[in-house]
Amino acid sequence: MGAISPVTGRYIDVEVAGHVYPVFYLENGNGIPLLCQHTAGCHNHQWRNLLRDPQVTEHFRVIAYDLPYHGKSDPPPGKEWWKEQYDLTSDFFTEFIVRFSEALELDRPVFIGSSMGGVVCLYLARNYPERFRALIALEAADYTPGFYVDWWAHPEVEGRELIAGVVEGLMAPHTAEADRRLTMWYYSQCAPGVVKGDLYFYSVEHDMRDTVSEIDTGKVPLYMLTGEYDYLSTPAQTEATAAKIPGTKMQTMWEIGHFPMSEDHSRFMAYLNPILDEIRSKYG
Amino acid sequence: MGLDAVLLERLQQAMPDDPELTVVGKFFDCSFLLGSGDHRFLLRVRDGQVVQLLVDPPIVEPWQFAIKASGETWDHFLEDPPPFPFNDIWAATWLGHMMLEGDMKVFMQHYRALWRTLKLLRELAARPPAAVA
Repeated sequence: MGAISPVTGRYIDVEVAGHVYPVFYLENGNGIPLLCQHTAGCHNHQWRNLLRDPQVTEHFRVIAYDLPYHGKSDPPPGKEWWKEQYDLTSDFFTEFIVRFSEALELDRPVFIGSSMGGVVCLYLARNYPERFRALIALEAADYTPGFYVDWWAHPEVEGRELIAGVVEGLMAPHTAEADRRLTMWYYSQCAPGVVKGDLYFYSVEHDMRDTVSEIDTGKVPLYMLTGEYDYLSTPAQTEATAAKIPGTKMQTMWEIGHFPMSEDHSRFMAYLNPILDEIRSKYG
Repeated sequence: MGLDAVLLERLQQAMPDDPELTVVGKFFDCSFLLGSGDHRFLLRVRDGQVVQLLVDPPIVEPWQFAIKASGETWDHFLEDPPPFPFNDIWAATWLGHMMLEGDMKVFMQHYRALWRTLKLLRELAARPPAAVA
């Protein structure tokens, strides 16, 4: 018999704004729930290493879901979704996360996300602080324009190979080839229009330059980690954002890019493990 | 080692034997300019191979898109490992160190093969010419 991973996958129905979404999630571990958000267009395999890290799963129930329209989470059955352009909004994104947590009856989970998943931490912190034990925003800043690009979804361009090549430039050159190629591969799997649609939230709607200071880290602790090679949200941008939110704990992750959990797990964990330990000791 | 005719000639010779370019370069069919400071290198690509390399060609020679930067930027781009943001042309362009010009549709259509070509360029720059046999 072949080796079977301890990671399991299940489906759960989540109702958001009047529609029921069948949501697929992977999970492993016991303890404090740790919700994991993938990046634009991708899916929960970006969290493949965190899900299998015994140092994490010993104390955390790691739950990596696929947003609707991503991975194994289909578009909603009750909607004529093919008649609408898919553009992710902060309202849907935040409500989905809260309703998913409710559906699983999670007790104030820790939430971690990268890129759009990091940016949404800022909205969760401002609008739903009481729902989370802690928020870990990877590769996030208060303003990240410019990536809602028509070329990602154009009939004369092979968008999957294009976006895979483009996101490779967001990774550090130090990243091991196998992880680099998997991270690219997930982008080449994006459904039509979805990576662009997610970037509507990240690059068009998102502008918290004047409102990020409303976040109260006394209500929910906020950690911000950004990779050295991230040009969409540079460490300097993250640092400037964190400076507007007293109590935020910010670090630059050296020799890492925009996809820390997928491109370089061991290097990433050198930064994440102390944060998880702190969360366990202070908020566990 | 910087971006120069010698390195680009080595690239021209190496491309037909690159396994990844054999996979992604089947329809790599375009002409582009690499500008490095005052110098211009025009590469005409057909079926994934450079069929013509022109060094500082007359200004009237056509190309479809161009990637232009200072010589110093190209030096950093060719380092191994390259420092941020010179690891990638999108990164360098995003932060103002490179310029993209011309037909962006053609650039986007061929980006995957172009990406591999520029990676190969960096690999060649890291190897002394005698090692390429």
